[in-house]
Amino acid sequence: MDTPLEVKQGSARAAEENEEKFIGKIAEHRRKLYGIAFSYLHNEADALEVLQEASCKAWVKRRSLKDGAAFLPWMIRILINCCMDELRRRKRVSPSERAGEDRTAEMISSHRIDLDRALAQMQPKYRHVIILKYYHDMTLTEVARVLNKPEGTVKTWLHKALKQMRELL
Amino acid sequence: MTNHEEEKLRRDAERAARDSEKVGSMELNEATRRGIGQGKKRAARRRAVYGTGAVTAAAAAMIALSSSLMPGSGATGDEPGQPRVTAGVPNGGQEADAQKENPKDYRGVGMDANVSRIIERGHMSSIDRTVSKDGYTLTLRGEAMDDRKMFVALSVKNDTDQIARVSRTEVDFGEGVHSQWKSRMGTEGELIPGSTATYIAEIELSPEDEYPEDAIFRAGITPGDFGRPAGQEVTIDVPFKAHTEALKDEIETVEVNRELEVSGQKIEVKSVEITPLGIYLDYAENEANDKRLFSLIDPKLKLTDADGTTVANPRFIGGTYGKDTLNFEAADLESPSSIDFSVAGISAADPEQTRLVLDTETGKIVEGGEGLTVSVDPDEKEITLERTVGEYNEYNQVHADAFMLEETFTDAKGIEHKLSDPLGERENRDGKMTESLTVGLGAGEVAQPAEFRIRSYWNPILEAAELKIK
Repeated sequence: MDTPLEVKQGSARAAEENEEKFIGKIAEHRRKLYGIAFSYLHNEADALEVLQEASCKAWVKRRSLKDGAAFLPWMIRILINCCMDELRRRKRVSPSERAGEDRTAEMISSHRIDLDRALAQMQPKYRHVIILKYYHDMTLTEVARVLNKPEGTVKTWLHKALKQMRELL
Repeated sequence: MTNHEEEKLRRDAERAARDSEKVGSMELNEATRRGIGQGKKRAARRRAVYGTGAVTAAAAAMIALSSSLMPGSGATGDEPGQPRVTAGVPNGGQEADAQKENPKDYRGVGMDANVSRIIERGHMSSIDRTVSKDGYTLTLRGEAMDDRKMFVALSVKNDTDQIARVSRTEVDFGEGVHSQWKSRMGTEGELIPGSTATYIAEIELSPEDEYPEDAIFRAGITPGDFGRPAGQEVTIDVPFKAHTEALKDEIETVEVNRELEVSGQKIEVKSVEITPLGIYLDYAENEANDKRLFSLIDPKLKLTDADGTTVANPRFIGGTYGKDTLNFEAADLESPSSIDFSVAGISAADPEQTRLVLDTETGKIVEGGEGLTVSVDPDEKEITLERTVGEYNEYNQVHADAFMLEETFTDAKGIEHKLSDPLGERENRDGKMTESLTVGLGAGEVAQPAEFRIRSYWNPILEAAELKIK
């Protein structure tokens, strides 16, 4: 029978192993996570800061993750919330051009600002679907897991997001 | 007819993905390591706050204080006041050149990695000209130009009591001198009352034109929120001296004038111009070609230094609209001793395959249009053309040319009409990529049938070819 000290040491070792596993998982997906943050923020330094903040929050909340297999969608969910916090905090919402303005230059431009403006006008849920699907090539099933919503809902969001984008661009 | 939203999304996604790949593993490690370190401290503080007494709180506080020594927390520390993770930006003072913009001043300004590096490398000359008008203060901060493009950094302060937005940015070099706004990068699109926002504007220039030093930067600022203008646009002109010669000595032009042949189609590579802002490859289709070229597939440049030890593969950005120029990002390698150009193939078709005759009232295809299906919306006076691109895979998503029509079409009476509101879309249908293009036919009466010209579609000929440029 284990003594209380052995039990304590055993649980400490288990905790350490869990920590290592957790750190390993973040490390394994760090580039993907950074890529997603970059899609929202378009700035290396800011994306790194958000990755740092998301890693911090994930660590604090790690015990709320019951299913280890769901780590990545859970982590991406934390990350995109951090991205939205950052965008809100720094007021990084770009307005789109209004209809009727001279759009000649826009027609020629295929640059990010046009898309950013359109994305910024969308509700966050639409924006998430667009970014995860188009920028990170996730299937709707994967997007649904990240956003913790039924696949049908996500499909509807995607349809509405594309429709809005057509109107805004 | 470039208004393909999904195409734009894909291109932008590709750009973002490539930009994001440039970050080093060290920076990523550092960010996650610091984050977890902070998380440990935060968790410890929470335990302290929610603990059962002063002793517990004190013990937890000790853990928090000592945790900087624990693995994963980071030896550099992350207490308040200490630097947060940076992007490996060199110290701005290294060059000690007051005439150049300091990269530190551009932290938090969203921009392409290419532009960020241009500033970091000290290629953006300072201007610092300020003009105030109607409650807005525009400061032209800096500018970098070669003979193809110009990046202008500007800040706008909004001292009015309502939200506004920058609706236009352009540079006027005088009549007849080409200058076309291409993009505006920035993170603060809205000008909140009392706030200042910084942008980087990209302006397309022409290598055929001589650019004078005297130029006017012009910005339009519209009061009001998106879609709800609350007044007339305020135009602010800022006269400035362009640094037309600043990068001239660093521009290298390699005259090539040799042919690359793909599947019997000859593409003359005319020249490669290497500047601190980018690399431009000019080419021309051989007039004797029996196919019409839509695009070069996956063009690549490989630059190598004299020792052959350093190799740079500058990223392909895209072609110049309406011109046979391939644009690449600036390379990390100066004065390469060898340059190799390669393509994975071409997208091209017989001229006859670019001709489409159809009845715009019924959607019936009279001639051409192999693989196309057409539907008509008589109420909206729109037609939708649909085709299958190929497998729905990453390669096609990145490389496949969008299906596009020329901007005008001719009806049976020979009257030319202009297409409007092109809307392209691609989707995955049972593993196949399908694309559709919806266009407006205009208000005029169209005598049937009408003839359209296809500007591009994905018709790949995957035959790799290389050319030693230098």
